[in-house]
Amino acid sequence: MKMSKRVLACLAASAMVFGVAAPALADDYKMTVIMSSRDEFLSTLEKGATDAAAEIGGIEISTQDANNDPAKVLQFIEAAANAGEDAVIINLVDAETGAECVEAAGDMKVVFVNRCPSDTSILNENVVYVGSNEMTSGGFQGDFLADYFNEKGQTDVKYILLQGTLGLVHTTQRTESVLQHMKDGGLNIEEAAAPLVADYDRATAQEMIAPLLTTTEYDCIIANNDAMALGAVEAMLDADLDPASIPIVGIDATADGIQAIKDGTLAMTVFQDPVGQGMGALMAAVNMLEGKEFTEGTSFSADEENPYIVWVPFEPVYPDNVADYEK
Amino acid sequence: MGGNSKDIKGFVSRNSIWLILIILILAVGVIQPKFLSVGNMVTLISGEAVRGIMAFGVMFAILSKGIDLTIGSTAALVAVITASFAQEADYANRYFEGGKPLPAILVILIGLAIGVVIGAIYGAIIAYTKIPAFIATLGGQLICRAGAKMYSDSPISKLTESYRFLGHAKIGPVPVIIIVFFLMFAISAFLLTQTRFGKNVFAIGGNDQAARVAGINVERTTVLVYVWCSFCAALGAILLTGKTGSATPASTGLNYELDAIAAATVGGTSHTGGICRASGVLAGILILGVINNGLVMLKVDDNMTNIVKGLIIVGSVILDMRKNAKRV
Repeated sequence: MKMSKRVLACLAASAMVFGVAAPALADDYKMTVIMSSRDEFLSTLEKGATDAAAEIGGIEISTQDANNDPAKVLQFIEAAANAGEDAVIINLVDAETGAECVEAAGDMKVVFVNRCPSDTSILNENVVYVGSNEMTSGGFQGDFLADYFNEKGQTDVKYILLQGTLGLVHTTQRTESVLQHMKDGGLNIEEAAAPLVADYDRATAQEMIAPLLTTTEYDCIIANNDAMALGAVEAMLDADLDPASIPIVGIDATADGIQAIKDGTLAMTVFQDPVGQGMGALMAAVNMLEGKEFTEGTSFSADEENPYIVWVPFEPVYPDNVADYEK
Repeated sequence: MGGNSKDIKGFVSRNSIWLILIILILAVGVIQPKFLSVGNMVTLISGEAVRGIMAFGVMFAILSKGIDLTIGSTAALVAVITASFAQEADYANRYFEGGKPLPAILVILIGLAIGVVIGAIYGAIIAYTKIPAFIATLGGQLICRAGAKMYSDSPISKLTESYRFLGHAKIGPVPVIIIVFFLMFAISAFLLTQTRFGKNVFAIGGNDQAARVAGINVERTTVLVYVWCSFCAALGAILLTGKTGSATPASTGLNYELDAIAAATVGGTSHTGGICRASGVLAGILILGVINNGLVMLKVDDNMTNIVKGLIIVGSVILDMRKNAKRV
């Protein structure tokens, strides 16, 4: 008797944890969205997916936060598989664990969103990736800086680089592509300091860059995201320097980033479409379950070489088009 | 004469931490003279001020043979709540749509009060249930961080200048945050050495049974220790959001408790209780500051910086334990 009460309590607790938003219908699809963590961007992405599900209707969707723990991602996938769900949408913590995720998913359809597994050969008609091509995000920054300095007639450019968390694929690609595009634009680039690894965090970036601002020569500040770019802006204001005196560039077009472009403190940023990614991921899952093209019902298109990758485009944001991106 | 040289030896031994600090500063300064500029020293101290104030809090907990792991999360919770009341009225992405910012002084008092209440809660849990402080504050850490994330899922920014005054403004060439930092140093040193509360904490850390026999209210003192600790965390949160201009639920104050504990430890606060000097902790903070700031200027790779930090933390405790063992 005691035992069964305990079992019931466990069931009740897990029902709460894996609680569902919509009442169940017989032909519902059941899905779990597993987020690596919940920062501003990823929360918006999550909402993009759940909103799209609500709009389509007939989809039971629950979301989990793995708190940046790759092991938790796997646990959530296994739980969804055990519950007999139809699909999982996974925002990977560790890009190397893609194969393990697919294995854990068993018969479920798998959509990776925002963070691509490093081994793309695991993608197939039941496993797709929806995200934005990070090589283009840094590329937009690089092109902007190349144009900026070419217009000034300056070819030797010293830069300070604020990097996100090392080991994440998008950190590497953002950094690689911005530097490559600056070189391709005819600039002779040199690093003014060792790369600062500020883990995508505003306060960390502000602290790390502060000692360099008045002691090093630099022509521009490149940040892998807006939060770190804004940290650099604050550090410059702290040091009584004008952030508009040199170009500071970010990526993400967060609400704060947009505001900074309007204020003139940030030179440009790159809009990554979180709602589009969330919606695209959900549509890909539904389309797979219904045996349709992955991109049906969206304006996105698949990669030219790998048909199992769906690209949600990046868009550069400057002072002259910033109004389009205000929320 | 003999006594005199013994005095000098004792003085040097007690203040060896300052010697290490001076050597570090000179070493970095020789390689990169710009490190020693007044401007950079201001940058260094204002960079460490938040964690420093948290260290002034946690040193009381460590002194009483406890620990406080909630600091960073308490800071996050206080940061998001206070920031939400201090956003500019005309900002489009306000937390409270269409509202007006509250007067800064009120917001700051709310923030400090939240800190005090949080500290009182887990202080009471530690004092009256006798569960280890490590466990109680670990629970507190998870709850406060989750609370911050539930309160807001995105950064809260565009804060009023009056709210940002403590963290951001300057009086002449001196950032207010530095003034607050040294003020908090003075207050904690005073609390530690000149008040009954401080003496009681020393007594509890030395031997809580003896302290109880001596008539000290161990429970009440323990609650006050964590109230102070949490108050420092809340003040740190207000400075941090002022400095960065934004409160981010997931990352504000993340792991700051570890930095604060490290600074207090490097500064000679003994984890076996009963030993602590405010001046030592100040030196500990500045040593970590020299590493954080100086190694960036020397273009040292980030991972190397953390290795040096780790070695210094462990090394300083080994030195301290040997020194204290000799004294006994």
